[in-house]
Amino acid sequence: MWAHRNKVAVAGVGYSKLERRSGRTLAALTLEACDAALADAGLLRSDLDGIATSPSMPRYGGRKGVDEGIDIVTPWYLADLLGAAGRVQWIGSTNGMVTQSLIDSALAIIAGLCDHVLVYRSLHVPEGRYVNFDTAHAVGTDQYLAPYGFSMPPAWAAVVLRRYFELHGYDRRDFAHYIAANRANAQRNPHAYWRGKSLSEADYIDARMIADPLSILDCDIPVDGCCALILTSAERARHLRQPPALLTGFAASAYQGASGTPMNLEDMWSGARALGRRLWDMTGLTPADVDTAQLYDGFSVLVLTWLEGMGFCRDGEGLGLLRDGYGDLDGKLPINTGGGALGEGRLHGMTQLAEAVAQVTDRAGVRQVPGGACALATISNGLAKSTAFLFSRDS
Amino acid sequence: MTATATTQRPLPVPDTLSTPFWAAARDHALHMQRCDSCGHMAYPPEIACRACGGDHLHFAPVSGRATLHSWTVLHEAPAPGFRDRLPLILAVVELEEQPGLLMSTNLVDADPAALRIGMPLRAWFENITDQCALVQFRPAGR
Repeated sequence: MWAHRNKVAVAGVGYSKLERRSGRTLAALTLEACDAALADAGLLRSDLDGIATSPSMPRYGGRKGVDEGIDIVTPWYLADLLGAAGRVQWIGSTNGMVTQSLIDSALAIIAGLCDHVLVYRSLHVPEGRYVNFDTAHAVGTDQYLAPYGFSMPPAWAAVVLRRYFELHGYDRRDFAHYIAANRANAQRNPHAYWRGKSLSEADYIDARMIADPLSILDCDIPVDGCCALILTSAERARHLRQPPALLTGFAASAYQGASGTPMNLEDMWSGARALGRRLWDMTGLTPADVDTAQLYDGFSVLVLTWLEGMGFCRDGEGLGLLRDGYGDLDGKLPINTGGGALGEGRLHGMTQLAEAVAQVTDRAGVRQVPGGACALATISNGLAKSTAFLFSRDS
Repeated sequence: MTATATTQRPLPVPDTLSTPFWAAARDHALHMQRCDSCGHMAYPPEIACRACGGDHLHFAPVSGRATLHSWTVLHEAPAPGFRDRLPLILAVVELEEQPGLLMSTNLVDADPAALRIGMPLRAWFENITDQCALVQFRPAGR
């Protein structure tokens, strides 16, 4: 079992407003979220001595901007903005997911490099049609995809969903209960983009297809915004403003899978299973110990591969369970209790992490899961750069 | 490479690894990269063999026979150059030569309602420009 189990904690969570086309710079949104996280923890900018993120901006085609403060906010730039540049002991930046930054930050705290680390994810909605591959030439890995029109993530997820449906005898009607219940969870989350806009099962069945059988309601909602977490030692966190969310363990995936397609059902299962085995080994826990699961839902189908891959049920069983209420707020395993990325907004896993923290610190309000002592958060699709975290309540 | 906006279908730009693949396609042949040491085939081509780590890899012709692994149907163009091809079937096919050897491609001459996993397919080649042919698939026996 991991020697540092429950010795690092999330001490604060902060959000900017999550909007479409906010008209504000990404830097301004980032500062709003970071200051909110500091205030939540009861810390000042001058307390920060570590900053980490994965600042990547997804690009499809060739005309998306990469301007600092507008399209991306790197930790170096943010350190300057926060007036912390001269004091920061450690900076982390990855090309993976922000959740890799969370692992790096925990390790920096354990190593004694820093006391209070800010981990944030800033994303915006680029101008124009989001995934329009309108460049004349496809280079690198794009050359095997874009000439066929395989240039948008919804299409990659759609072939996974199609294969899942076909192999296990489901169709979109089986997903309707979960999607509607997920939107109901978003109604209970003050940060959620879709708060105030309910969704019926019929709305889901009738939704506009993006890549059949994947509809617009199977895709998370791209937003302008930022979410930030403050990490520190569990000991220090106990003297701060909020109860600490203890980091019990984590695992990351390096599983590449077949490369002839960006996502493949069997490889996502394999990757999630390998990651799950390491997480349960590291923490000494099992799926039965988990009270609530925040499963990455950049696309709806990922909820299924995570649920099955992490060992909550067998491959192909997940959608039947969700159809029957297993993942509801009052179900056996409440899933994406804050609305996930489908309901809260597209922040590359921060919705999952922030909600896991809220549940184990008893701060989830009307969506609080009774006895929510152990929360799982998984991020990405099970393939390389994916991560999973277990957070526990402080006793 | 300048990133100019276009209304054409994006063209693949061959590189060090992929030049033999696209050269074969231009001659209407499907070639896969194969490891000299263990025979494992890779698509897209790799620097080193994922099965054995060997770095002697060469392209060899394959049958062009495949089965349908999965698919999606687009009713809106994913890029301007696809507007006259709707509905567009994006498919992942599994080549006959090796389990798990997957390729992203298009299905043509196929009825979206009749598609099923495992249905036999056959490669064919579509000239996009004088210099470029794309590998496409159609139901076998048509």
